[in-house]
Amino acid sequence: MSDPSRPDPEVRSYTLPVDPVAARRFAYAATDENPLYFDDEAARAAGYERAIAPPMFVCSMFDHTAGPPERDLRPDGVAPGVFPSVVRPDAALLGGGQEVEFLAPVHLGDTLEVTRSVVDHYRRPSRQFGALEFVVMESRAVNQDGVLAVRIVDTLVVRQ
Amino acid sequence: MTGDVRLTKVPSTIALFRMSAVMWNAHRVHYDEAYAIGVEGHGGLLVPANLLSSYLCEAAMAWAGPAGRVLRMTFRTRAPVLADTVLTVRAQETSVGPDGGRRVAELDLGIDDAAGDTPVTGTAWVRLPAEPDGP
Repeated sequence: MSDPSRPDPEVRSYTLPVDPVAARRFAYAATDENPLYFDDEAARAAGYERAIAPPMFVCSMFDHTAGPPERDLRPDGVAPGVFPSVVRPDAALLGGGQEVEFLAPVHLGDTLEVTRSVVDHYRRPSRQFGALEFVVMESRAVNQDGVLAVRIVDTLVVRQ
Repeated sequence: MTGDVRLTKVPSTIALFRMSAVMWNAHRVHYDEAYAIGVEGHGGLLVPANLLSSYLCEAAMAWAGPAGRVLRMTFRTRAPVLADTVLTVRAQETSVGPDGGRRVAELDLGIDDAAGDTPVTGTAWVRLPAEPDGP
């Protein structure tokens, strides 16, 4: 068990191709038919090079890998390797919120290199659960031109 | 400038399935109702946080218009939201100030349910489009 007072230095990286089909499927799932995601002309008229991805698409593709086979998933269906090692396999997980900076547009067809690291890990007393742990992770998505396009800070609330 | 934005959203089980599928997210609370209720004790299927944040971002972008830019957004889920809940998603301007020659508006974001609770809150900072040159 790691010391909750010390940030876990582990880092994960993955490549996120901004596939137009996946990005548009995401838009439909979110019931958001903004022409900026579907129509290059509309995007150019708004000052973009071509159609863009829904901004939350990048923030949602949390671990763009094939993941493990089904037999290695947790009983709740979550892939264990998605979370840092400070999260025990049987921990209950709650999203604590997200802070996102959109620093450059993400166009359909871009390729992002995403690096995620744990930047903070602390424990707080909770009236309802005794104690809760908070794991704060920062993801940085850099595009094919080396430009930092999106910076995401996720807080994961862990009951373990 | 633009007025307040209000969107009505009803996250259906189909929307939950499609979102989980595109993310390759097998978390059972989003599609396996028997598991969500019987094992984890929820009142139904849970709407994934990224669907809720997408609703907030859509509202912020609708407020900004196509030539505006969402620079930053924060959100917090304060309570679980169940599938098929009727939600009102809102974006309201709280202030506008200069920022490097352009104007940036701060928006208060929220998702309200029919009972009057606000399970999701957030803030967005939006850069307004350049204004046409004066005479």
